[in-house]
Amino acid sequence: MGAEEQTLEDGSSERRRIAGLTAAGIVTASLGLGSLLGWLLDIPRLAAMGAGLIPMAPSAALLFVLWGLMLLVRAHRPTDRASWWTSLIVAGATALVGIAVLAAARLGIQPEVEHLGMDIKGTVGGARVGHMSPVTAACFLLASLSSTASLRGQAPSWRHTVAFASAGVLLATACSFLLAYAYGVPLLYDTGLTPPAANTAIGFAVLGLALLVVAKKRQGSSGSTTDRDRSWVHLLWAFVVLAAALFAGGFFFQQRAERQYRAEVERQLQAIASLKIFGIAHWRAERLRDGEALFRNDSFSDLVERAMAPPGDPHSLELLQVWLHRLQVAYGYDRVFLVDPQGGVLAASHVEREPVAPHLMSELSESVAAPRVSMLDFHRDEPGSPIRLAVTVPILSSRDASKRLGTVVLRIDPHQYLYPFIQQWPTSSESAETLLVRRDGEEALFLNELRFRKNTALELRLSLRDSTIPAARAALGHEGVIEAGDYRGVKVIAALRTIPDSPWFVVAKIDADEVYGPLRERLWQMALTVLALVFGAGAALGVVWRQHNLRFYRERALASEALHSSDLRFRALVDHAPVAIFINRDDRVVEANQVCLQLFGASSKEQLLGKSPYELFHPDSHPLIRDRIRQLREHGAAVPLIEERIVRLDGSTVDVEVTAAPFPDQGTRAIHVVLRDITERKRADDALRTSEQELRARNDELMRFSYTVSHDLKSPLVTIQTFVGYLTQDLAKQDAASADKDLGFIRSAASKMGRLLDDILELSRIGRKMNPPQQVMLADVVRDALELVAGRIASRGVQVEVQEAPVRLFGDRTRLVQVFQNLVDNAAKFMGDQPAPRVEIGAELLDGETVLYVRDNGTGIDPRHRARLFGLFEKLDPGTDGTGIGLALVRRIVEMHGGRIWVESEGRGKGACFRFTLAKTLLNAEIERKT
Amino acid sequence: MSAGEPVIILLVEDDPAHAEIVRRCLSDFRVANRLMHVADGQEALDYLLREGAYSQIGTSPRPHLILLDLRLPKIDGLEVLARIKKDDSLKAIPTVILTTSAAETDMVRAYEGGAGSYLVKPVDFGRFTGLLETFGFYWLMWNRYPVAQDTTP
Repeated sequence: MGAEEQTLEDGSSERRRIAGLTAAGIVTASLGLGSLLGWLLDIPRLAAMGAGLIPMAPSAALLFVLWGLMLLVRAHRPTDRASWWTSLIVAGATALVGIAVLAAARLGIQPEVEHLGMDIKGTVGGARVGHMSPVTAACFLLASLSSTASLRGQAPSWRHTVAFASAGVLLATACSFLLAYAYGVPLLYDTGLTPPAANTAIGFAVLGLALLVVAKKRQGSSGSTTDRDRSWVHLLWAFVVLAAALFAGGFFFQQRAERQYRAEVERQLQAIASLKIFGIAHWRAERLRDGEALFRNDSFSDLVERAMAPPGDPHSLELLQVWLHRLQVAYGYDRVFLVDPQGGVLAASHVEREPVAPHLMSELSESVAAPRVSMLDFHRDEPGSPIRLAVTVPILSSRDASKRLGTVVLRIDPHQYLYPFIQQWPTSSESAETLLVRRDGEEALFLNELRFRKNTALELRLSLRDSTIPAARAALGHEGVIEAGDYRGVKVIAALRTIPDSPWFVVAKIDADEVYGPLRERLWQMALTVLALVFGAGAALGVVWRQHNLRFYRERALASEALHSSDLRFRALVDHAPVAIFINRDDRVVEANQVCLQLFGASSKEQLLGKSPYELFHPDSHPLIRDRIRQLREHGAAVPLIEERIVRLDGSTVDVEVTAAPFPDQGTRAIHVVLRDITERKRADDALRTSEQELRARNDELMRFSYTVSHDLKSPLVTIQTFVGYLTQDLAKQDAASADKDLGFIRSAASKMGRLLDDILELSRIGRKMNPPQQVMLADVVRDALELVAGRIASRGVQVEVQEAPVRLFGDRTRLVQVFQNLVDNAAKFMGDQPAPRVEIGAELLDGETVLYVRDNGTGIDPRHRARLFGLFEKLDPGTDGTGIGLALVRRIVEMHGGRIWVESEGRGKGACFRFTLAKTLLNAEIERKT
Repeated sequence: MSAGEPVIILLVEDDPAHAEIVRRCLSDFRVANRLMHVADGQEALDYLLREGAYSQIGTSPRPHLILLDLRLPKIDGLEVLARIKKDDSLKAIPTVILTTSAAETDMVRAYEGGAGSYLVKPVDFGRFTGLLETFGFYWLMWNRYPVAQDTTP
């Protein structure tokens, strides 16, 4: 993915985040403001979300307003200090309130201060309104925790976890309560605890989502795990959609099941009501038919007439008595008796006679006009007497239908059949019952005994105006199924029916609780199922997420391994590079390879890391280095190879070649510096230069040699030639004295020439012929040399002192002897008038180098002539013997042995000290030290 | 200088035999001359600058002509020439190089150093004495020298 695309995507997700947080802030603040307004303006629906639901406490409402504002601030100024402080203050205040509420709830106190000065009274669901629920308080604590934990981007991961987890728990809690509200079974109602309000739950759901977004954002900004985060978001969305679908599915399924169940219950109620009506109507018709059997029954009329005819027919009367008795027994009447028009009981089924009740009499008299069988409704003969019904049958004369003989009363005890029939319920039910009511003026009169209240028959009356009660509605002639509070005030489902051909109405009812009981149970099962499914889905997504994560981490691990191995390869490359490499970041050494450590003489990396490059380079190169670093930083291009000098950790300096280039290191502009030790090369250069110089010197020496030889050999030749000429002249003149003188010159020149030739031969031999080098002790060499010059030493009386400490030399023994021989001879030769001539021979350590010396106390050397001392055929004193080849010879030998020779003298008469070095010469002290 | 005054010649020559030859040739000459002989470069400079052994007045009369060998002990002839030409009181003195060296480099350096003449000692009796005779004619008979400004005789 290109960098630009990344930015675009980030930008759009950032916009989405801001929009989401803004929306959440507005919703949260609006919920709180709405509730506060509801309280202030006394609109309970604004504070509670419906009738019978608990309202949001003013304290909670105020906190929601604060949280809404805080979300707005955090959405728009995520990195501001204002945002930081707002979050902290809101979270802190909320936490304090939450803890206070929880503590108060624990102590059972509900402080009035929560009402914010408003006059709030009342209870809902058994809890006083206007007080914050402990659940709400706990939720606010969770919100505070999440909000505080998600402050500051570079927080440790456990804080992200805390922020995430607490927001998640908050969301889950809010959703649970919301779900309960949605399913119509709000939680914590009637438990003694104050339940959280529905709008509080909504507020927390929104707040929880917003805090998840906030925590998410922080997590996203802390690392480059964008890919992983996106999949996280996808999974979260998948989970939310799945959970929503499950909840909705459960909800609709439950709704459908509830409707079906309700329809079933209604059908049952209707069926039962129908059954009752049928039974009651049938029973009533039967009773009337019983009366019809006597009505206009001529034989019975005749019997009555006979029995009534004065003076009375005892037989007929008895027969009538039997009749009535048989009737009573056969049809199950309470009493059957015959009343004459005057109200006297003519005959009865029972022996004991009861006086005819007055209202029966009025009924009897009413039926005179239009004689027919009728039913006397539920009544009491007198207050306190049992409830009775009666069927009245007018007995008319068989000959004269207008003549009324009397009335047969079939008295019914409803307890015998009717009441049990009414009370009987075909299924087992805790609360189901059937009511029989009659309209009595503007009241509904209960006719039967109730299941839940005693002595109600003909006693309990309900005003018809209170039309919600099923019995009253039935009495008004309503039919169908209704759900309303019954005479007890308990909510019931009731089927209302009218019994045809009667003043009666039937109410078949059952408590809503009983009806919905199993439904509730099913609801819980459903809710649990849904929750289980949601958790299952969550777990499944979690597994997917985990798998994805595992894959991600595995890939990352592989990538990191690959990176690591590539890193290792490059590290190996760098470490084994034959050049020194170090990385300079912000003028500090942050990495160095092995060669670099060796170059600077560091034993471990730590000795170099953290040092400034200026410490590592010689102060002379600092301006140059500063310039080069600036060039690198500004132009980002490598700087050319130059020679610089570094300072090793031990303070010594080393010449190096340095090049440097920009080095991309963790986004910073580091510099990668490559150094190469050029000491060896310099040494080789020097050696080359030296050997070139040597060659030139040798050449010069050769030139000088040939020049000297030509001059010095020519000189005696000139002498010889000239004096031979003079000799010839002198011989001619017979001048013997002059001739003798001439011959002296000639002889001297010839012998000088001979010596010169010898010396030249000797000198040339040194260059050509060397004996194989060997180890030899200084004392032995000196002893041999002294033997060779013993004559001169003895003649001059020179005392020779040789250092006792053993010194080991390595070289051509014969030549070394020659060196000492010449030097000692030289010293002895230039003793001048020294009364106690002395020569010291030995070795000493000067500046770490073994230096041999031959010191004398002779005439010394004029410093002006020191330079020419070792030249070929150079003689400082023309008067001395020798050709002037001795010291040239010595220098030649010393140089052949890789050494050098020089002379020290404070001046004429102060003696001289010839010092020289020889390669591979060691003092004994050194020998011991080295072995 | 008057005609009767001898020409003073400073001979710088380390080889006593050669000095003897020069002395013999010049002493045979009719023109009065006085040959002062020093054996090395150091001694020559001491003489000219009147130092060391020649610091006593009278031991080192200012020469009219210097006859200088190149190969000398202690201080080289060319070095002596350079010192003479550097010294204001000496640089006017004509200096003739008399040496065995016929090397081109020596010759060039001598002329560059201000030598008035360069003579190579021939390895032949007749030629050497002839050279010295011609030298005498030229430098003692014909050559004119300024009156010595030097206060010392």
